[in-house]
Amino acid sequence: MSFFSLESFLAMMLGALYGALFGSLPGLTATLAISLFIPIAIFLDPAVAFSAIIGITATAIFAGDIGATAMRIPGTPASAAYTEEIHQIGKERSPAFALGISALSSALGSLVGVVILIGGSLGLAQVAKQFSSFEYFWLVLLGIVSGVFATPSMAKGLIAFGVGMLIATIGYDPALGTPRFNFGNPNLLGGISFIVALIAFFGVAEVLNNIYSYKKGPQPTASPNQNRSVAQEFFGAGGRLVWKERRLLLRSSLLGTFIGFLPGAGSDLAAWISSNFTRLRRGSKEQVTLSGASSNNAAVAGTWIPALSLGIPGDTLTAIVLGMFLTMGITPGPDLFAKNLGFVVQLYMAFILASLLMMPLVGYLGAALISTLLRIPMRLLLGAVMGLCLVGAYAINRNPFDLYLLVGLGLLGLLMQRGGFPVGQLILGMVLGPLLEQYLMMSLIKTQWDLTAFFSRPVAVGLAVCNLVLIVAMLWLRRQQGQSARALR
Amino acid sequence: MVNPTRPFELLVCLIALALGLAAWFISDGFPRTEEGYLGPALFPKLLAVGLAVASLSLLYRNLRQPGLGASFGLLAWGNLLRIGGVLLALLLAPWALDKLGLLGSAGLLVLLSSLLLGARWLEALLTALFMVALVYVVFVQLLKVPL
Repeated sequence: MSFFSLESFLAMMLGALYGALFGSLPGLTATLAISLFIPIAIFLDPAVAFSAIIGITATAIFAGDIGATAMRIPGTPASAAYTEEIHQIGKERSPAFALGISALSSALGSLVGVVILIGGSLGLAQVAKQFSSFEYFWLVLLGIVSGVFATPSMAKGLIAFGVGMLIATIGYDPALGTPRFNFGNPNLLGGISFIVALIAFFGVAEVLNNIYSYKKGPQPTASPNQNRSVAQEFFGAGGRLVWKERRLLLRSSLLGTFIGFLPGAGSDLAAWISSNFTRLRRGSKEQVTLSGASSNNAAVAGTWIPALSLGIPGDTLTAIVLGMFLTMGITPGPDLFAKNLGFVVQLYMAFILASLLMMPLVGYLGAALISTLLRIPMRLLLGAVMGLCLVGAYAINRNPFDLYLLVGLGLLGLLMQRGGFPVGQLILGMVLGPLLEQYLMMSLIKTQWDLTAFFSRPVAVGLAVCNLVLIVAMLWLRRQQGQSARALR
Repeated sequence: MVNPTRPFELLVCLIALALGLAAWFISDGFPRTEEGYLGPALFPKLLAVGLAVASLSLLYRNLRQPGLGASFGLLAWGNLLRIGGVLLALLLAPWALDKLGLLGSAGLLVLLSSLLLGARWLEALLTALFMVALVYVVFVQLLKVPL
């Protein structure tokens, strides 16, 4: 069967809707969507199965923005990178506009990623082969440094990162497997579930923050531009902004594809680095959202580059998909292009179709749904969100202990939010902390704790210099801004 | 001008400082590598130093500014009590899970949170019932997620 049959098209369409449902609900992830689908997929024709999988992966990451826009709860970790901004746009202007920016830039970002996937699978994979733990260490550190400087107060950024990274140290350490900070509690041996933390810091904390700001009297029900049609806001205003910011979109998509194809990096890291760079350049909320959304979806295509050309998964999703390739008797790697070229070409075409059609369509449906949802009074919507937080947090592991974590972390999230600390950076710390420690310890152990080894490889030195330049430039910039502010006073 | 974020900033700094100190001392008990290096304690100790330095510098800046007492006066104590109520309901959720199941517990939490957010009884009850039905249809029936 071909990828261009009616069955394949329907499979992609249903896969896109299924992925969007999982992506938009906090607690349900793209990985879970694919995992639950695999037992069904292995009984399908490969073209139909992969069409559905491409549909799922194309929309599940983007759909994380639907929850972020409506309730400030990112459906996926990748959306957490710009949740504050997209939620603000939705509140201040309209959810349709916010999702229009996100869906259209996601679609175009994904398209850029696919073009690079087609054009440079083998060439780019050669670069990634040069990366060892030293290069990865400097790359992850670059993500952290840019994140700290992206916050208005460096001390608050450092605290947020530090707390996030410290939370992530709970459980077995990544290098030697020693249990840490579990206080004899077996529930903490595996660490704190990232999804539970995500729901606590964004979902519970948001509801608590609204309760704190509660005042008696009439309350807002909807965002200001409810009288404009969803199509006008989504395609018209959203499309115009995406066109105006086409250079930023291209830059973020290229960065996202590059990060995506580095094994283990994935779309989450791409979104964080890209949106932080835009924040560093004092970008607007719309620009931050556009760069994060285009970058994470470009990274989705990017993760397929090492997967197809080397058989190395770029993230968890492609790891599952690679397993399915092998189950179906298809061996990924350089031979794939020689033996199954027709299959690979059709796979690329399916990616293009998913980017151009599925993302805008699912995004539009999501925007229409949210516009209806926001007519519900906030007091009821937030009450419902609280219930969803409980279900989402419990559904992950079916462990009541996670609900105690939800309380503790939700309260911490509220205090940080009210105190002006960037909660997003805390989440970024939870993602990047374990990676930084893993690459640090790997490098130290294999070089017998020789610190000079971190500067012994050309690419590693280049990345170390990038870190240094960023730190010096940002400190200089902040000093200049401080002096200008004092002069104005 | 009185800054309403100061009490929260102060509290988060104290929490971060306490976390940093705790991480430093607890990680003293972690095993070292065969060569005698820090091993699993290295990264938590680095984080502890970072947290202590950042929180102390922010604490110093916060306490040096005048008007801390006035900023405590801006706290919405009534709403803090409401927050306490929601958190208490969430703390009791594991107990409610045993008695009512997940759907019942979620419904109860929606009802309580909506009431604390100022909803009327009937609309809060209808929202809770709608949420229970929605979760059942989406999670149990459509996605086959065992709850």
